[in-house]
Amino acid sequence: MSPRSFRLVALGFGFAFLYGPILWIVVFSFNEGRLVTLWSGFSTRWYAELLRNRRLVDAAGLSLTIAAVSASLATALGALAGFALARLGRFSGRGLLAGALGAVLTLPEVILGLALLLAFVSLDSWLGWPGRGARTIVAAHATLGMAYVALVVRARLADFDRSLEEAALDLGAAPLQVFMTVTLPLILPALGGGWLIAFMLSLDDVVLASFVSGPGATTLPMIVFSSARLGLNPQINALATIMVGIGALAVLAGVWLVHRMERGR
Amino acid sequence: MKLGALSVEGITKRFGTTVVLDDLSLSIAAGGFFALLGASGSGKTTLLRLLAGFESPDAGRMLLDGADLAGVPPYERPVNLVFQSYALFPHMTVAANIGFGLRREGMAGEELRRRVGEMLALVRLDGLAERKPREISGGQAQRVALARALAKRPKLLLLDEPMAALDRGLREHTRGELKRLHRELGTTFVLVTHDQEEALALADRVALLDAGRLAQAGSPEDLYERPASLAVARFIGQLNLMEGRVVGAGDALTIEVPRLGAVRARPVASFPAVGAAVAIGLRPEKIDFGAGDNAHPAMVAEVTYLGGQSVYRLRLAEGVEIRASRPNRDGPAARAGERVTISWPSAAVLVFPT
Repeated sequence: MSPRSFRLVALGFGFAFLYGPILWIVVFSFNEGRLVTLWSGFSTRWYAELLRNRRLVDAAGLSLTIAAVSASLATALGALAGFALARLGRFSGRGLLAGALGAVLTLPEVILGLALLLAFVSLDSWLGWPGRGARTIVAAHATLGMAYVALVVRARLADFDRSLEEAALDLGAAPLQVFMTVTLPLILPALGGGWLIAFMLSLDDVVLASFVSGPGATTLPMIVFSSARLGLNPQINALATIMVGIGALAVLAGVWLVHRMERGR
Repeated sequence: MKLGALSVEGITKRFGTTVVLDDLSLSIAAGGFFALLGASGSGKTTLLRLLAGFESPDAGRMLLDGADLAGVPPYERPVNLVFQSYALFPHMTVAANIGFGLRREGMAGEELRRRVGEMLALVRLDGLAERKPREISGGQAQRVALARALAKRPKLLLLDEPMAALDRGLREHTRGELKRLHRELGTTFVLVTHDQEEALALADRVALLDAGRLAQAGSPEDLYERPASLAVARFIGQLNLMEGRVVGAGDALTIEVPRLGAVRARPVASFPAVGAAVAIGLRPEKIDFGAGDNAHPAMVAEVTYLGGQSVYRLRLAEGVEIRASRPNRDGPAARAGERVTISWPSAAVLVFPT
């Protein structure tokens, strides 16, 4: 086998391994029949049924809301943390902050979920707040997301040319103006990228949501997960296809942002 | 009256335990072109950052036209800086970069456009207004940085190694441009450089910094022809160095150099006593081929042809070699292996105590 054809075969296997299962779901979401393993003709009926399924549509709405709110919170908090780590030099508690963010990234989600659940339950027994539901899912997802955002923002600031900010100061911009006219526009792609990561993390999270959710707050991945245990259902295939679409769009947007960031240098 | 007279009085700056500037005093005339020359680590960039307001001194004062700069933040100083990296804002057009400082002053609309246009014309970049910094060349970026710093009509323009990133041909051209801008605007220019040629070529006054202290300040000619110390003489220009001992003092100084013999030099201000050990320095271009004062037979060990001039390695005695350079007006003055007589005027001999 020539090196060239070997590379092609290797590439083919790689793609098949990565995308084969997903492609399977996408194809069978357009299957006419109820069986998810037997092709019986093209149809979009499962998409129509999906839209009539109030429970799924409500869950999708909740998931998107939670993802948007938690991603925004994560971006704000993560940007602050990233700034502190990249810019404040050695302050007391720096090691603790870096370690805590690193722990969120590396801890198994099951442990993180359990820890958050315990925290929410004890907080609730002291203050009678926050209960358990969408609110706690947002808090949990923001916790996870901010660690990622802090990582991205810190990296962006680490190779930020400080002389740009000095030039703005030198030309008469007060510190707040420097931030608004120079620093913020230049790290905006990093913030946007961080937001997208946090959004996608939230949108497909089952573990954290299952731990900290309460009655009445069921996210889409939780429904998908529980219905898959009851048996495969073509509606779920259609739902998965839509989520793959959203994910692909987010990745494309992320790539575009990174590209803009590169060009900006 | 020209503005932009700067007086630096006893400035000391430490970073941790390192003393970067040590009780430095300088005065810079309004409208002058002043060069701060020094090796890396001499403190010249730190002084520039102190003037711009990015750092504050641990001791001493800086007065600009009599006003103390202490506590004035960088955004309120009538001082602008051209960064070594140019630091153009990558997300703004050339015009927006140049107008940045003016917009901070509240200038807008037609007036802003006109001033930006003037600045573009001043640095001869008309037509590039709408480009982004990544779409222009290094030389153009440098001129944008200059225009941006000059747009606010500062009293003092600081230039941090402005030509370090340019190639040789462009550097020569940019020197001419800087001189022209200085002449046209009358602003005080302070140039930081480690390139002695740049400092000598551009500035009307040069200060040589050595390890945070002022080694010498004066005109380029002062520093080259009348260096205050051996360190200054060695930093600026080429130098033949020999060591000897003063054997006679009177109308002329006579110095005995081992293996070479007596060298006569003009008396110097800090007159070394008879018997004192001294170093003597001799610039390569001061050496003549032919008889005269301080004549010595020599053997030409090597000739390096450089087009406009040639450099000769001359062996005067066992272990005594000096370099001479002559313009090639009628071809090289001597060939390798030739025996010649060389001489130099005693006024050309620089004498330093060791």
